[in-house]
Amino acid sequence: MEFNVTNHQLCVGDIHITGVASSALFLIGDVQTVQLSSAFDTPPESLIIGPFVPLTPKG
Amino acid sequence: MFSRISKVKSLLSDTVSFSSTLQIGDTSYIDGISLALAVQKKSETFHSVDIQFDDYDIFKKPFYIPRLNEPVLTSFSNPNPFIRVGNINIIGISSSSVVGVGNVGHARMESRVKHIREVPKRDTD
Repeated sequence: MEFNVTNHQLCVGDIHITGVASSALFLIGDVQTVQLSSAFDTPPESLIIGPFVPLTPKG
Repeated sequence: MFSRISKVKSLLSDTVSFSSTLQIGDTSYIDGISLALAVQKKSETFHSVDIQFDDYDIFKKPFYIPRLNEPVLTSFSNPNPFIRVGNINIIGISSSSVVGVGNVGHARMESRVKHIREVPKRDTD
């Protein structure tokens, strides 16, 4: 695969960001390689409804 | 390869917390990991919650990384070597994030969050 890039004028006005969180990346500039990975699970069993039960580890 | 220069008028960030980075200038490697246990439960007193990371297998599973199976020929030409940005306004940078002005070589970031919600059963129904 061939990938040719010609960069001419690159101007951005103002940038307003509320949050950059949980291993996020906000870059102004060039980067060779980026590898971002994210995992989160909220399966039904992570929602516990009922009388107080000690938090069971498995899940 | 990297001949571009980032020009930023102003950069304002209210918070840089939980091992986050605000990098002005070039970087060769960025490597960030964020492991989080998000526990939401209702209780009068705030007592510590005894959960360990290795209780859950979301923190153990290795990530699948797709492999490049063909040669990639890249060529960059920068007649105009500037990246111009005006004012940057950031409210928060949190949990091992990176805000960078400048070039970066290799960046690898990983985030794993386990959510636990404990909702009291309503006695009315």
